[in-house]
Amino acid sequence: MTRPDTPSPWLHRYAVALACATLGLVFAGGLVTSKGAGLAVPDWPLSYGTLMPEGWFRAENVRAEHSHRMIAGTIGIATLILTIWIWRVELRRWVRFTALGALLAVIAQAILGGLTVLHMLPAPISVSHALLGQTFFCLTVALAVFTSPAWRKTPPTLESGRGLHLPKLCFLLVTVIFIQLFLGAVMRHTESGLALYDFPLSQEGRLIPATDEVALHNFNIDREFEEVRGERLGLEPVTAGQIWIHFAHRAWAFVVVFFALWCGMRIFRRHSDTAALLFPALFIWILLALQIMLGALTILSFKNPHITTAHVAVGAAILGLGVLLTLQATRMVPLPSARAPRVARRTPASPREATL
Amino acid sequence: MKRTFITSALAVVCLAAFAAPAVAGSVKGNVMFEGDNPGRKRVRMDADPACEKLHQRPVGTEDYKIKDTGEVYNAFVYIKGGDGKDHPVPEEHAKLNQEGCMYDPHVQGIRVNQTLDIVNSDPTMHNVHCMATENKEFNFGQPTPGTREQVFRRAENAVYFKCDVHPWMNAYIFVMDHPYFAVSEGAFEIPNVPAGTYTLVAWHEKLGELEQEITVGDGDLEGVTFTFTNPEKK
Repeated sequence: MTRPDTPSPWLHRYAVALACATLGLVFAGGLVTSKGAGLAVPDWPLSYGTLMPEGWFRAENVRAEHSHRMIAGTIGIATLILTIWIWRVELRRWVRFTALGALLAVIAQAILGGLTVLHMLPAPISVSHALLGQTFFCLTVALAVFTSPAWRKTPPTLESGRGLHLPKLCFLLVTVIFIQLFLGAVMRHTESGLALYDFPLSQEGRLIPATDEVALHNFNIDREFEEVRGERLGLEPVTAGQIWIHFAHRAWAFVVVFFALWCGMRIFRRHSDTAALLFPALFIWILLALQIMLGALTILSFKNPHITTAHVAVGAAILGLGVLLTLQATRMVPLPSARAPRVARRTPASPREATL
Repeated sequence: MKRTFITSALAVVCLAAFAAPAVAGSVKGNVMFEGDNPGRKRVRMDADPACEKLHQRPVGTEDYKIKDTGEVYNAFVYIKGGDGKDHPVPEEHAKLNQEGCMYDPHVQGIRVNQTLDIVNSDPTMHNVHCMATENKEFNFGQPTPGTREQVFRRAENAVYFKCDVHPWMNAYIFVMDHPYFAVSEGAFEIPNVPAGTYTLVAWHEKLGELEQEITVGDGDLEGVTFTFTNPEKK
């Protein structure tokens, strides 16, 4: 098969569109969990025994779940098209295999989605489905980057300078973001999203929650009977485990902020003239500020489904930007061993030689 | 001949005495609440317009259905362990109805191996998610009006039912291996309880569980009262 030296620009545009659509799918999928609609369509792969159940759009939860399936199916087909296209036109073998990886990921994601419905939402499968969805999104971002015209050109070589090598720092940032997404998914799928319902403090004026037997007993009474806006809260009782899962997600946000600040400051100080690094870092900061506000609003609104889901989607967007930044940094900032070779020092054969 | 007749008559009398059931009576009483009534919350059905249309007046949750006089509805009252004997399974089907986008009844007791008819009486889709632990958990859709039968093979307390299409819908079913139970509407009555001493339990989905020992003798046992109160902080 003869592949062109430079594929059509439409390939890159299609890859970008797929990445954007996948972010939309993350939102659609997140909305299913936020509304508690995961089992609103109890069968799979069909919906109420058909491809299109009658009246599916009338009931909110059925609409959320069924539309999520339809969007996911469309993304799956779009990924297949992209993969075939890339295999036909792309010279770079590693790009072709990245596309294949994305296709396998979306197929695995569909299977996980079906399994989680058929087994009635066991937490490990639901969390895996959430994380694989985020991973698939990262792969679509990577494909959008790899197919871009800029990626085909020789990049500028930047010095990392003192301190942690910039690509490693960016990779650490992506890792801590992914851990935060994992904690968020565990929180959502163990019904821990409102285990603590105060903000910014955790529980009854405390920063660190108390979960001894007495404190937990009293806290669960408050959860049921405390009045907010003239109405009894009526929140289900929680366990100590649920409280700590929720708190871990809140606490890890500080770790994410720390690495985002570190990474961003490094780029602003040393690479502020490199747009490919500057803009992703800047947008990470902007979205992080938005994410913290959305997290607060999620609690204060007692998990309004749309606010909660926006929080999930912005988290995914931050992860995507982190992946973009890491790829760019890896390309532009070579590893220290790949820099100018050191001059080899010969060990003197004799003391006399050493004094010459 | 005379001796044979007397012996036979004595045998019949002994057999009749042995086979006759112990004296049984009803256990009657009330489930009450003392304290600040938490009150029912309003059910918001805007997630499905078809459900909203089925009600002219606001609908309240079934959890704290307590009258102003303190009478508690939907408490499940039962004799722990029954009387230790086997009882035939009723042929009559029990029923869990989905009407007005609410489960009816909210709390009920059925027998092990008794057929439960799960009925969709609404012009909208429901799904029935039974979160049993001792029995098999199940989840099926009922997109149109109709009936589906289900049988539980093991005794299990407070089997939770919910609808994933309509999150406010829930119900509790107790699967019992004996017939000595009732659901309170303030008052309760458990009929035909054999004479003996038992542990009587009153369970409420929010208020918790209370137990007391009762002794059933000749005739009905009346005035058994369970009194729930607000939970207290430690």
